[in-house]
Amino acid sequence: MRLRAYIVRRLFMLPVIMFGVSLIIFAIMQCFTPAQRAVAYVQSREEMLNINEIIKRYHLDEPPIIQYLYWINSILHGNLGYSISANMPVSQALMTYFPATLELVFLAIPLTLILGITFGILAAVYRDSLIDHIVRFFSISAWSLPTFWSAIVLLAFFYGVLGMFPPGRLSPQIFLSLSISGFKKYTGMYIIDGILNGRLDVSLDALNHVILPSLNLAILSSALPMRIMRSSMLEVLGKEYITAARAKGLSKWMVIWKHAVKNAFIPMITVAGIMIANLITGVVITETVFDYPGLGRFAAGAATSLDMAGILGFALFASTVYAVMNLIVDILYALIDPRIKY
Amino acid sequence: MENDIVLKVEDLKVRFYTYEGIVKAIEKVSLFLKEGEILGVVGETGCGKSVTALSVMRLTPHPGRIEDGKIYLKTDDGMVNLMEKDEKYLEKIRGRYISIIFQEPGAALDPLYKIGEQISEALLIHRKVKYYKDALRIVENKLKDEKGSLRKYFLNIEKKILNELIKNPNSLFISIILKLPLLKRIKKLVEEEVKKDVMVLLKSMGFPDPERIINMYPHELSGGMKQRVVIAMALACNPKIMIADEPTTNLDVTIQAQILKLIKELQKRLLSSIIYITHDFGVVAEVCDRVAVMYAGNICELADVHEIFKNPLHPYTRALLESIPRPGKPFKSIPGVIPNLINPPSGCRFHPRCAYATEKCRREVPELIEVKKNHYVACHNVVGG
Amino acid sequence: MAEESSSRWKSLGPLIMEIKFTFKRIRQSPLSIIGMSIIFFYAVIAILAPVLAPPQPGRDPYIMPCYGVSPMPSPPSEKAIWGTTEGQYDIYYGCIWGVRTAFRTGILTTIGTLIIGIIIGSIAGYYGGKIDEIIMRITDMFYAIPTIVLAMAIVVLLGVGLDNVIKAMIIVGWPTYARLMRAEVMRIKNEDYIEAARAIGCSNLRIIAKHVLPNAIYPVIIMASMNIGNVVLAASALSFLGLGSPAGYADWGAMISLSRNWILGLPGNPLAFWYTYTIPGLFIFTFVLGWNLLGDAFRDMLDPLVRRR
Repeated sequence: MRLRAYIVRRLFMLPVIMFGVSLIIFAIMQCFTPAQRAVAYVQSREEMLNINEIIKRYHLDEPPIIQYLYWINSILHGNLGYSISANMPVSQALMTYFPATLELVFLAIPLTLILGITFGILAAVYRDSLIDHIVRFFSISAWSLPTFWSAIVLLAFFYGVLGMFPPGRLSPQIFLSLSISGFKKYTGMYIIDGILNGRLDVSLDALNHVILPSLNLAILSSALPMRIMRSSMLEVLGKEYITAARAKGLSKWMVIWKHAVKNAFIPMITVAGIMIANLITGVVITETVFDYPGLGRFAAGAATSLDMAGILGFALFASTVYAVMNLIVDILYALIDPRIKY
Repeated sequence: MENDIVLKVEDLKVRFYTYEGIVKAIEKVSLFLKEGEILGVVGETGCGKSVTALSVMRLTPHPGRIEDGKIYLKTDDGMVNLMEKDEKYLEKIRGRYISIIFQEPGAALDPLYKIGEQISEALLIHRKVKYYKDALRIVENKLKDEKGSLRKYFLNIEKKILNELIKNPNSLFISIILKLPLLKRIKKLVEEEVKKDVMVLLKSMGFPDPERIINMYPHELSGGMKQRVVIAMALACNPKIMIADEPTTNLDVTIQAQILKLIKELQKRLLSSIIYITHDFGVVAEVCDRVAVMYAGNICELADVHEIFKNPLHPYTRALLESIPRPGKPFKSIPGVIPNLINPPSGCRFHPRCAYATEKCRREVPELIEVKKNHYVACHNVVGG
Repeated sequence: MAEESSSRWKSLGPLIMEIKFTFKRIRQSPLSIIGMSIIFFYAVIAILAPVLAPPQPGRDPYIMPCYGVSPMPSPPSEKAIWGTTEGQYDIYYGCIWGVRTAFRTGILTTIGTLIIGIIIGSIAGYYGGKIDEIIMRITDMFYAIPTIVLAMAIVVLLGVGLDNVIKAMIIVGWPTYARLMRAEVMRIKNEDYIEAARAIGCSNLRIIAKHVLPNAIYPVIIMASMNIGNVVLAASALSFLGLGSPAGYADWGAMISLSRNWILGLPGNPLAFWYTYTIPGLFIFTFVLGWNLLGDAFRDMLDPLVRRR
């Protein structure tokens, strides 16, 4: 029951955090003239000629505080401006590209965790053995690898040389067949929608395209959990309750599974925030290299086209996701560790 | 070997392979434990008492290794040399024939699990079959009174699974099946049976309200309470031998007295033998029947408690006893420092600090010899006597 | 022997002793030696850049020489030892001068974030109260936005270019050091020797400058050195996306971005243009690896349990 109160309290912090984020974004916007800011809302050439009308409509030349209130108001009504790089309203772009990124991330995160945690545990249990050295080498190398470089190498090798796992999201034939056969988009994620529509070929095709970007994300993101899991397992394995558990007669792997891993997991949660931030960075770059039509590629495109509305809209969205994920992590932490007071 | 010896350690040698060098922690330690007695092991911090204790259970911590020696334990199959046994056998022994409690109260408790769960774990490791049989009995009783056919069907399934478990207690297949929602009841049944024994155990440790304690986490208990829980866990399966590694050092004096009293009571009731490790001679005088004095990884002297106090023969023992502060007496400490065990002194390890050291002491390691009846000393110049 | 020399150093103050001890520990760890060697090797290349890859007269040395107009990269030849990128820019030249770019980016960003972070953090930590609250809320706001996203937005604001990338990373990076500095200052503030200094009448400014700063700065500087690798990585990513150096500039990330159209090679020869991305990529990887190895060694040394074994 105290947990419920804690969750509610943390939920209330969400708007506060978003308020802070909005202040920063607003501050960036204020560095432009009203005319420049008006361009963010322009949707057509006619509107371009009537720039003053736009300035008046969105109150872009009034005192900052008034502007801020109107700005927040229009955001809450879903109007984030018009993205020149995507050729659609920003909010629509976010909605359109979000499922693709979600699909990518849904595949990448379990891969990351399984890879990182398993090898971290193994490296600690078989300390100073070959696998320990491989893990230590891998985690520091992967931490030094540029995401875009590993993406390029993977693409060149698997697609270029072996012809497997093409870039993009769906192959052209499958994509065409979607509009013909009346494919219903339930979630926007092709792997799931393919199953729901009874079109396994769509699911498999989507999987085929999303594997390489997920792998890229997973390999690089797993470096941090691998090393943290290893060091935290090493610390836990030296604790007295592990020896005591073995003194009770528990087998080595039962002790590791029941006592060591659970305790070692806790420091991992504290770096979850860093992992999520790294993931966002990785998504932007990976989607760009693999030409994967998700939010990351949209953000990169917006940045290079100097699409202010687009990049700021993305920043707002990414920060929201980041804040929500941090909230989930905090709650998880409270759930797992009975010692912390909330 | 005499019939009443439950544990005999012969020439134990333990080395630690650290980055800074090889620590020769334990050199040729020999001792024996008789049935129903409390053997005290005394020595300064760092002399190797804890390492010896852990090594007896073959739980030497990394990077240590038992290089040599024999560890004879009296089990139902007679005296076994633990050094010849594999890990599976040792897992059966630990907790069942020999257990250990540690210095830091509560350090032996996993902070993420409730007290009840941890004591249940201790009971379940060695007594799974007993609890399955108890649960089976309950299911069979329920079956007798049950009229409804659906219920009867499920109860029969439970009965079958329990029978399978009794035959095959460690079956992985069944432990996975038990996670299914319908069959979780079997787990609950077994847990209820174990819980009864946990409550009895806690009551015998002096807890007036075990129902409350079972659901608490370690950090919610006081030091004394935690230590009593740890003792409960160690004695859960009635081991013949308990090793107590300075269990009261980190407790308040009043709690210390309580715990000591508890330990003495339990020992008498359960007729177990205890190896009591401490650096406090007061505790030794109060609790132990025999005493072994350790210095820098060697046993210097081994004798009955009265004999040790009345007639200490090894120079180190004498120095230790003399250094106990007493009102009116000038403060006397032993000159020098504990040796670095990466490069231990040659010959007798105490010779650099010994007032009676001779050339022989520098050259030869003294053997532990029975100088008087039941009084062993490892010294070239046995003093007095 | 060790006792005599250590007593000599003792007189120079605890900070010097700490640094000396740190270097001793660095020398003892093989990984950190590898890291230091890599950094040293790159430093030599950076210094010798004009010798190793002579710049063309009258041209900005950071712009790679261009051997033609064909968009298709050329394989290694006599003129361009490691081949050319799209647009015929010399890869060898770009990689060598890219070392200077990398050092410049890393060091400038780090110094910038350090200066701002240290100043703001000290103020917050020392004066506490309302000032501290406000500064902490501001850093919280910065923390709420993932760094690369904010950096991208700032670059869009300021305009494309390597200098703006550096500025963006400084703006995005100072909160981390401010927080660390604040924590250290708060910890030191309560130490006894500060009380003592105040008791004999030292002014606040003097206390901050002479006692608080030197002791608090140490871990912050260590953290910054650990982070140089990540800074270079982030900057190269931003260059790759096209937000940093322009095409033709000697910047590893920008060079790899030029290879994007040629990753799949030619029909029948998928690895035809391997040199356009493999070579600059290796430079980035080894450069960052060197800093990370060094940073790792620093981190191990800072851990108090491991430090004084």
